[in-house]
Amino acid sequence: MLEIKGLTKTFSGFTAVDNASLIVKKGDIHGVIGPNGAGKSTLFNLITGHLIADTGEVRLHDKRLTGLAPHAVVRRGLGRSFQRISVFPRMTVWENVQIALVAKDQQEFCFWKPLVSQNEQIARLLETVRLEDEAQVVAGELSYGRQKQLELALALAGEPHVLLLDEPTAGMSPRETEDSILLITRIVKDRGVTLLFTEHDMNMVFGIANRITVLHHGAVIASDSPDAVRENSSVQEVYLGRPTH
Amino acid sequence: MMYATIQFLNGLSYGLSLFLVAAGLSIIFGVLRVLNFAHGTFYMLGGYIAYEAVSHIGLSDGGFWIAVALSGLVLAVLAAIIERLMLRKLYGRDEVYQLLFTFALVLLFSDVIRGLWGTQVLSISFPPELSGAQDLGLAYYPRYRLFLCLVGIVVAIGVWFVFQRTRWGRIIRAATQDREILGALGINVPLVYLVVFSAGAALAGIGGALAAPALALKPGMDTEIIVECFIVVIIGGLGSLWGAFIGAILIGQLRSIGLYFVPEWEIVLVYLLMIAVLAFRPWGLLGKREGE
Repeated sequence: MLEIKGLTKTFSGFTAVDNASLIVKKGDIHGVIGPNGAGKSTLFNLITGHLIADTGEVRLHDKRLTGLAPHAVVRRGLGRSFQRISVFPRMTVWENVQIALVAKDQQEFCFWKPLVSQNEQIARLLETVRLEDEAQVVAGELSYGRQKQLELALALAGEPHVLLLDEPTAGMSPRETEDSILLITRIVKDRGVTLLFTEHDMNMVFGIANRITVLHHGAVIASDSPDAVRENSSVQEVYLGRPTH
Repeated sequence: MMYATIQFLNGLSYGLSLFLVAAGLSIIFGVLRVLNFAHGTFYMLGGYIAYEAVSHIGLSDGGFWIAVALSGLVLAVLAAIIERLMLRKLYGRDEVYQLLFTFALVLLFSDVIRGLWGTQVLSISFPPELSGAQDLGLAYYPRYRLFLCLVGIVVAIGVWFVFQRTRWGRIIRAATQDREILGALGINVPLVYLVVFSAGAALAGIGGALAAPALALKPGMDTEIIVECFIVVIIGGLGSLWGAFIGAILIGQLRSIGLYFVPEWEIVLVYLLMIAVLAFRPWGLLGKREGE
């Protein structure tokens, strides 16, 4: 469904992503791991159009995404969240979701069309991420974990086919991490969304992913089932042969 | 009492026409993060374009209103071209480049105006439907200036309505908070920038055209208004619409009070207010503190 072929990105002589290829199948929960600086975030930014690849291409449903602007990539069905908190901090939770829905129906420039009350849709999304009681809270005042939940609602509002999450549990307490893993896996299953995510918490990746890609120095050294990746000798060398942090 | 009423209305009409320009400046800064030095130049161009239009089609039979609309339209198109072809290349670079670029526009257009219309003072008469004075009970007051007050209030309410109640307004408010997320949600952010810059310039152009009958058109009016607009947004808070409104009203009143009590020092009062705001609330009366 999402196909990445031979992506390469060089920053003034430094190769951040090196001829990376991988395939994400429909319904997969696909984790991308690798030591710090392995090129995970760069790879994501190449997929979403925030960076332009030197060579290679990305296809979704067999249609080329490479070369499209970020907002156009989103409109083809690829939702994303960033590593940092990405909600509108000075708007209420409700207004945040409202914006995401306005963006989704692609009629933001019909200014004569009033902000129709998509109350039901908003309520349903907030229920999905369990924020229904915080609807009127200003987003910036939510706890970190809850802001991450809201972020998920924003990404889901666009009804993406593929959801890209960049370190969804970064900065969370163990408790928040556990909650958010449960939430993410449930949503993915309920909604039939395909998930591609990066993560540094190995337990989480091996716990929920059914497919894992390992990046090292920007190159894909393995892309397989969790068991096969665990057994892979070059992966073991990268993770065990030398310190990773 | 009569004199006080007139001074109050003078301050109000001046403040509200200042608001038309300062609002655009503030919204453009809020969304694009570009401090547009050329905003006063857009205002001046609006005035000269209206002058030119009126000299061809005349003032009566709606001629003045066509001229005002034309000013807005020309400025919207001009600003769209400037944004699309030039300014867009400078986003994400050091702010100095954007400042230099908009300053270059100031120099460029003031020379263009000098070339086309010369340096003599030009003026437009009041449109016939609004000439003369209105009896307000306490005093007679020029109808046109009352009309300027009305326009300022209508624009303030209109912009507020757009911000609060429309898709557009939501998106513009969101763009002031985080453009990257907006793009990630599927909004064409470069298009939002284009429209905001163009609409802000149109507002300045209309402001200039409407102010032309009340003021005189002359070289240097662009720097005069941009300096006042900067003071308005410093007092009110950069990026805040209501801040611009309050700032403009305050300056209008302060100048007319100054003119009444300390005529030679009126402008000093304005600067004193600005210094006081900077000392005690450097982010402006309604502005947001950095990082908030």
